Amino acid sequence: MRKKKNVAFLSALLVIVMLLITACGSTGTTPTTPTPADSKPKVGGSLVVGLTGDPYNLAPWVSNDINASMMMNIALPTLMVTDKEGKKVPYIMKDYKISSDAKVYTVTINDGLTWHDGKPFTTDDLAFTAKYIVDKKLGYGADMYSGVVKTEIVDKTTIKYTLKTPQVNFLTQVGYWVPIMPKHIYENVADPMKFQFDGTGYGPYKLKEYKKGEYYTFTRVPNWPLANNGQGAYLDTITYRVYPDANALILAIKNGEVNVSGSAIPVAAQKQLEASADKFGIMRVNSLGFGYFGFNYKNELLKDNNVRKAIAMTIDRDALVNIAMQGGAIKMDTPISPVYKDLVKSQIKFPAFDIEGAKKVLDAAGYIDRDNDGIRESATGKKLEFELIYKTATPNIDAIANVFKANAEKAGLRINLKPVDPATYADRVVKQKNFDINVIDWGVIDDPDSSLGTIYLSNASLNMMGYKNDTIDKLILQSQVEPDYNKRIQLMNNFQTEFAKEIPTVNAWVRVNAYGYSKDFSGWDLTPGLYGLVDSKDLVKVYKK
Amino acid sequence: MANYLIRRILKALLTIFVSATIVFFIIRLMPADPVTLLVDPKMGPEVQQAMMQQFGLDKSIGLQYVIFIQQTLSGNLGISFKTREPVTTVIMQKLPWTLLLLFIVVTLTLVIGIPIGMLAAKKRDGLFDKFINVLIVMGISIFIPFLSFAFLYFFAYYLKLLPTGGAYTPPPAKGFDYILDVARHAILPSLTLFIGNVATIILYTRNSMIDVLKEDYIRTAFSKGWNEKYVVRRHALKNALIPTITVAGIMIGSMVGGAVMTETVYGWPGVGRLIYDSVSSMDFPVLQGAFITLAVSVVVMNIIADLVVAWLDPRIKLGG
Repeated sequence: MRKKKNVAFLSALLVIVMLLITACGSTGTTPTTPTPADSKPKVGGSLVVGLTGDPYNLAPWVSNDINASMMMNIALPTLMVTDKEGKKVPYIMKDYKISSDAKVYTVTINDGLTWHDGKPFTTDDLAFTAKYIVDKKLGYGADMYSGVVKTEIVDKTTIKYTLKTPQVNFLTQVGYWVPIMPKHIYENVADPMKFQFDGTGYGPYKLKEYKKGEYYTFTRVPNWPLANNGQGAYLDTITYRVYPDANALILAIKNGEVNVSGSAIPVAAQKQLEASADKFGIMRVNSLGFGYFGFNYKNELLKDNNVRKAIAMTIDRDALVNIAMQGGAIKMDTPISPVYKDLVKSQIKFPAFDIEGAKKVLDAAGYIDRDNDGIRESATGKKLEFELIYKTATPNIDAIANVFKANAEKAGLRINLKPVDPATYADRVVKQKNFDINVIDWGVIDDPDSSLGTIYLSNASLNMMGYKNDTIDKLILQSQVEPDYNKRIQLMNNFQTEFAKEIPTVNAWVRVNAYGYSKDFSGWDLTPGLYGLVDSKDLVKVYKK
Repeated sequence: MANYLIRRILKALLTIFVSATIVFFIIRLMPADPVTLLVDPKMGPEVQQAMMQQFGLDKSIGLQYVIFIQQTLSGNLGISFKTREPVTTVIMQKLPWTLLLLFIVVTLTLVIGIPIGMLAAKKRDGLFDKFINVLIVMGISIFIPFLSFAFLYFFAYYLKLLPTGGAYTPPPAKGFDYILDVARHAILPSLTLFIGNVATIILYTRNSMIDVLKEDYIRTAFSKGWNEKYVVRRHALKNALIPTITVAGIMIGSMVGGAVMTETVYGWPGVGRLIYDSVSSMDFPVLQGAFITLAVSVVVMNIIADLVVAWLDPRIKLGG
């Protein structure tokens, strides 16, 4: 009996203590009031970044996980970054030269960089990365470096890569996507997939402490040479915290627990932050990816160019970006994203939105509603009825699908919506290619003048449409090896002309990525790219007001 | 007793083996695979094939199963596809957080739920009992994620009294400050789970107590002139608690596998959150490990509950 009393007493005490703590802790989480004017940049302060996914691993080479790459980019920045136009420019790399045949790349890295454990950062590490990543088949880095037949170390800061065949996007791909590996750590690692990397880098911040799935804290590297005229980044520490989704992240930002969103936030969440414009800001930038509706050529009806053309003419991009996506996207009516201005100057477009025009195309091709049920049939009696498959996890996707369906049905087609989870989508669309029409929202399709082959070449594994067009293949392959940018633009114009005729996909929108931040901090900057406001090159300029 | 225990342990091992087998095949019934799920234009077929080999998914299902059973029998739950760490390490990082939540919730649930259930039974059909019945229905039927979001909105966002998620504010403080910080973070997930579980405990205790109070030996005890408090505590409680103990055992066992929704909504870094993340990324070895842990804990808690029940009621003959 006495024991029971003790248990009851202890439990009551526990509840009381918790309530007291609740009351006492109320001041700790209130956001601080921002100062009215920006103060001058100075060293100091701690920033908390919120992520909506747990980084898989500290070694970005083995996981290809966006959260790991985003977090580790302040410790392991890449050789190249994007500028305001989305073009790749040197960062850790100082300069580069490409031979006229696009087979020899001479790269010079910035002087004065060291690994966080004190070892010098040299071209030895660059040469090691190129070989090791291919030997061990580490993620996409293995594909990107696979063309290298020889590396030649000229001196501690200069290296030459010789490629098997010309490849104009070699440097912009490896330089932008693959951080350099520490040779002195990995040279003795036989199985990198099982190796627990400690996060040693060469960037403006070094990993101080972490608990997987909980938090990761980085501290400033004093006098890091490439930031703020050699004085290094301003913020003393940067801590990454993991949240289950964007809603939880926004709540944490509004509660003052997080100062900036690492991941892009949806439109509804942006509006929540904009409601407190004195405390929070939003910065927006066009995505490097785009969304399209793809047609499966295995479907006999969709194999007919007239049907694809008619469907393309039912796509109302204004409704998609303004209504379905609530203004969180811009229209894309060219085969290449309008983010790449040089490549879309030609204004080669898909057929414009015109439902009456779509009806005429179908009438002329013999697709007529013979049984008056509102759905057209082919000459052999097959109804123009298609399944539209899409991933439920894609933001605004139900609204996108419904806009598509409503307009297609006005032209006499029936669209059955098939929302599925990501795994089912991957299985049906990517693996089995068992669908009629799919929607996909690519996160990043960079260097389109040299990289579109990964999704549009006839034999590409991601040509889910299963189409084959020799002219398109030829133009893509020519552009991949053409060192002259202006000639590549012309090749891409020809590609776009052919693509807009073939219409294996109808490209429709480019997302506008938005990131929320606290106005307690200043110096924010944003360029199109992978890491939003927490890109190493931009984050080093952020300071506490 | 010894025979009973041996038989129970053998049955338990069989149950765990069957559960592990079912888990292995169910996970592989999911569409696609962790590599296809990446759908990355940057990754060519050769690298994807290499990843399938690294994950051991290039082998036939039968061979994968044999390897899985061999590894599990030797205490090796495999390597996480996602973090590339041993699954036992991954689970052991998360388990203490789930156990902490479990301890708080079970303690509060039993200490508060049992007396309320007893009181409601004693005052059957009275105003208090009716009020408790309404609360029980609400507690059992409430949608936990909805409750969690409501708490988050009210306590974290509106009142700004409590943190929105996680188990502590990183980087973690030292000493007593750390304990206080964890306690603050534990309040909302504990309260959510408490509401979901206490209703069940009250319901079982109340109904069982009502039945026991109708028994002849209780009437005899009253006829001896003993007061109600003494009769309930001395004679009725032990018997009335039998169903409650069984339910509590199952509750504890299943909670070791983590409260998936609650831990996910509150960002609590326990086994439940691990399961949620592992489903999203199709991390087969971690899912297998988490479900085996769950199966083991449910089986062990069932055995313990049976032993406790036998101790409470000597009429129950173990193995009889």
